[in-house]
Amino acid sequence: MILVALLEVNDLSTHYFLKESRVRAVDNVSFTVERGKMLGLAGESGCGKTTVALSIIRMLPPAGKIITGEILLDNIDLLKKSKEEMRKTRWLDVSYVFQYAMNAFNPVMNVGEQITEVIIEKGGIKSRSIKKEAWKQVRELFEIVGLDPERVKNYPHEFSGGMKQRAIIAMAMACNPKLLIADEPVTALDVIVEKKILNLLKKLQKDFNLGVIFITHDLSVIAESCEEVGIMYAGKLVEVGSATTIFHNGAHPYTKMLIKAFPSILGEKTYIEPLEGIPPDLANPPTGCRFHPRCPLAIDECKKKVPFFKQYSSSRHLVACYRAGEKII
Amino acid sequence: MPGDPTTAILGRSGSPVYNPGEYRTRLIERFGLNKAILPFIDKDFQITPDLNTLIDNQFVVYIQKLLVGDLGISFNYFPQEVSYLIFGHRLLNTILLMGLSIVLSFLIAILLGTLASSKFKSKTDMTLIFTTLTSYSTPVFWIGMLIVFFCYGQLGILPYGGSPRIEEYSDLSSWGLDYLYHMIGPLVTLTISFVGAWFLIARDQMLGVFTEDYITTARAKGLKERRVMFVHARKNAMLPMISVLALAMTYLVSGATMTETVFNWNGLGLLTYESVYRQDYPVLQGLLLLVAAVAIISNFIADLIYGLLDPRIRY
Amino acid sequence: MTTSTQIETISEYLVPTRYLRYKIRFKRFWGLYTDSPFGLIGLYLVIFFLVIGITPQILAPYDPNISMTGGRNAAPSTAHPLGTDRIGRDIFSQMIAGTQISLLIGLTAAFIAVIIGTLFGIVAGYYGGWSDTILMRLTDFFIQLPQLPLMLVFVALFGPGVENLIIIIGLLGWTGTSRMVRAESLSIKERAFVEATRAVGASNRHIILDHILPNVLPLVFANMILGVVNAIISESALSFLGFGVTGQWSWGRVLYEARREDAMITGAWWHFIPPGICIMLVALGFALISFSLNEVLNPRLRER
Repeated sequence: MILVALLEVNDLSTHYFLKESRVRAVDNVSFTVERGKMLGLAGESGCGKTTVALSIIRMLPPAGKIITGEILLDNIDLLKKSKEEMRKTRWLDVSYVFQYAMNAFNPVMNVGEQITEVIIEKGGIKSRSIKKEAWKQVRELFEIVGLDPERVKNYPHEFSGGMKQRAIIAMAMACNPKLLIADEPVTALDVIVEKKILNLLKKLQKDFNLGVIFITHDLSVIAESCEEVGIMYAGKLVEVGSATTIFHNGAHPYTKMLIKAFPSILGEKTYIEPLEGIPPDLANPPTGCRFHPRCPLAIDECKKKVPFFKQYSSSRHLVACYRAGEKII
Repeated sequence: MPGDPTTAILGRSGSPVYNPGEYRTRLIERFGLNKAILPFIDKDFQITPDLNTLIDNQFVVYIQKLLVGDLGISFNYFPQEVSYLIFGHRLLNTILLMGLSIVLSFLIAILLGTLASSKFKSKTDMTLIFTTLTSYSTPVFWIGMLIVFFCYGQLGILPYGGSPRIEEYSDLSSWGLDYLYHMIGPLVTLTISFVGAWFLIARDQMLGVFTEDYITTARAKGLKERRVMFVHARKNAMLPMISVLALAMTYLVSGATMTETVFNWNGLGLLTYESVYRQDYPVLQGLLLLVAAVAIISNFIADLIYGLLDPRIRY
Repeated sequence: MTTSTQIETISEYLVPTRYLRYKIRFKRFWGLYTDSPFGLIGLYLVIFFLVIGITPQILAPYDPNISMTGGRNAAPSTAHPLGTDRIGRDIFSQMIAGTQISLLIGLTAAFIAVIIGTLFGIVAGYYGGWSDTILMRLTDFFIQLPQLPLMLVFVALFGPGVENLIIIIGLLGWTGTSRMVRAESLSIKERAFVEATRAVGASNRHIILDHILPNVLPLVFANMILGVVNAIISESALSFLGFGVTGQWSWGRVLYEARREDAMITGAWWHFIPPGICIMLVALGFALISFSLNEVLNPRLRER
C-alpha cells in the first residue's frame, strides 16, 4: 500500500511583476511533505521561503503570480481550484502561522471570538448549539496549547508574546487541518519560550498526525525539530533530505557553508567562515546555477546551465549541483 | 470661556442702537451698562481705583444672572428674553435639521468609504473621490442656492424656505408632513456637504486598516471577504470616526448658519446671523455659551464612548 | 566635496548647501506626484486662476463698480459675457476682480495659519515638557470652537474688510497643522539619527533646521493647500453673509449681491452660478493637489 504524500509541490515557479522588473522569487521548486512529519525550509532572508509558503495557500500579494507548477494536497491540485474553493480550503485543510504573528489578532475582538468565528464559518450552520460547541472547542484548544481555558474571552493585548503565539497556534488548529505552515514562528521569542513552542508543535504533530512546514533561517531550530530539511537559495531549492543526512552528509556547497556558519556550543572553537558576497538580485539572477558567483567550487559548467535536482545518496536525498559532495578546500 | 471677550462689548454697544434721551438712559440703567465692566475697569475702558468695581461690575452680574438661568434680554427682539429665543422652537428646528443630516451623512460616508477602499484605485474609487472632493470644495450655501434655483425657481418642487410653525396647522400630521417637506432642501444641502468632508476620512481609515496584519490573517483563515471587511476592518476603522462625530456635535447647535440663511430655516444658525447683523450681543453671548458648553460635553462623551468601544483603553 | 548633479541617496548628505539638499528632495517628490491624474488637474486649475488673479486690471473689460449702459439684469451677451446685475454693473468684471481678492485672502490666511501651526508644532514636539502641554491644551481648545460663529463675532467686534478677514481666518485655521507637525517632529526626534547628530555635538538650531524641518515641510505644505480650501470657502461664506469684503469685489460678495437681488428666484442664473462655479473650481484645484500630495507622502497608501 503506497501512501500518497500529504503535500506534493511540483515544479513551482512564482514571480513578482513589479513596475519595471520581474522578480523570479521562486523557480522550479519541488518537494514533498509527509503526514505527521515536519519539513524545515531554510535559507537566507529573501531566498523565497515565504513566497513558496504563500503560493501554497495562494495568498500572494497582488504583484505575485504563480507561473507554473502544481501543488497537490492529498492528490488534489490546489492551483486548479477557483478562488471561492480555495477560500473554503483555507484553514480547513491547511492553516498558516504568519511571520508577524504578534499582530495576527484583531485588537478589538476577544481571542476566543476570533477562533470561534472560523469554526462556525467552516461548519456552515449558524445556530446556538453550534456556537456553544465552538466555544467548548476553543477551551479544549487552549488546554492543548497550554493556556488557561478561563481566558478564552480575553483580548489580545492581555496576553504576553509567548502566550499570543500559543493562541495563534490554537487558532491554527481550530479546524483540524492536515497541514500547518509556520513562517518564522519563534524568531521573535526568547530562547526559553522558543523551546516550549517547538515542543508544542512536536506534540501537535504527533497527536494529530499533522504535517508541518517550518520556515526559518535558524538552522539550529531545524536541526532540533525537523525530520526533513530543504535548503533554499535565491529562489531555488538546492538540497533536500532528512535532517540527519543534511547535517552530517550535506552535499551542496551552500549547505555545507551554511552549516559551518552555525557554531557548535560543544566542541572546539573554530574559525567561522563567513560566506562571501551578497545574495543575487532576483530580477536579474545569475545565469546557470544561481550560487556560482559565491561558490568556491564553481566551474564553467555552473555558469552555463542550471544543474538538475538529482538523487545523491538515497532516493530521498536530492541535490542540485554539478560537484555535489566534493570537499571544499 | 468664549463668552469673556464679548462681555466687554456691553460697554460699547450703548451708542449705536438706542433712542436718544431719557429712554436711552433708562435702557442703559436697565441693562446695567453704566456699571464697570471688570474689576478696576470702568465702562469706558479706563482704569479706575474704585474698589466697588471689584464686585459691582458687568462680568459678575452676568455670571450671577447666568446661574439663575437669566441670559438677558435681546436687543433686537426686545423685550423677548434671550433664553426664550434660543431655547424655544429655534433650538428644535436646528437640532432636527442638523441631527438628521449628520446621521445621514455619517452613514453614507462610512458606506461609501468602505466601498471605495475595497476597490482601491479602481474607477469606482476614483469617481467617488472626485465627486466628494468636488462637493467638499463647493460652498454649502451655494449648493443651497442651486437647489433653491432649480427646485423652486425652475421646477417648483420645493418651497422657498422657512420652517412651518406648529401653531399654524390644524393637526399634527399635516404639520409634520409640511415640516418635512420644507426640510428636504436644507437637508440635502447639508448632507452633500458633510459627506464630502467625511468620506475621505472614512476611506483613509479603512485603507490604513487594510494593510494591518490581522486583516491578512483573517483572509488566510478563509473567512468570507464580506466578514473581513465589515466586521474586522470596520470595527477598527470606525474608532477615529467617533471623534469626528464628536466634533460634529458642536454643529448640532451652532447650526449651519449658511444653510439656514439661504433657506430661511428658522433655527439657531439664522439667529446667529441676525444677531451679528443687528449687533444683538446678549443673544450672541448666549449662543456662544451654548455652543461652548455643547462642545465640552460632546467631547467628554466622545471620550467615554471611545473608551467603551476600544477594549485596549479600558484599564 | 562631490557636487555631482546625479545624486544617490547615500551621497545626499555630502552635498554642501542646505539649499541643494532641499532641491534634490523636491525632484524626487515631483516624479511621484505626477503619477496620479488628479494632481495635475488640480495644478492646472490653480495655475489658471492664479494667472487671472495676478493681473485683473488687464483682463477685466469694465470697471465692476460702474453702471453700464448695457441694461440692468441683462442676460449674458457679447458685450457682457456674464451679464449684468440689477444695477447694471458688469458681472464678468466683478468676477475677474474677485479672483484676485478671493485668492489673496485664501492664500494669505492659509499661510498665516500654517506658520503659526508649524511654529507651535515644532516647539511642542521638539522641546516637549511645559511648552508641549500648554500648546496642546491651546490647540484642543481651538479645535473645539465652532469656526463660523466665532468669525462672525470677530467681524461684529472689529468690522469687516480684507485685512480682518485674513486675520480671523488665519487665527482659526492653525490647529490641524499644529497637531500634525507636533506628531511628526516627535517621531523624527525619536529617530536614531537625531540622537547620533546630538552625540556629534550639533546645536538645537541645526537639528531643527536641517533634520526636522525638511522632513516636516512636505506635510506642512500639504496642510497649507488644504488650508487654502478652507480659507477660500470661509471667505466666501463671510462675504456672502455680508460680513466680508466690502469695498472691493470677491466672489463671495458677488453671491451676496445675487442673493440680495433674489437672483435665484428671478432666474438670473448668470449672477450666482459663475461665482459658485469659480469658488468650486479653485477649491477643487487645491483639494486635488492636497489629495495627490497625501498620496505621495503617505507610504501606507502606496503599499497596497
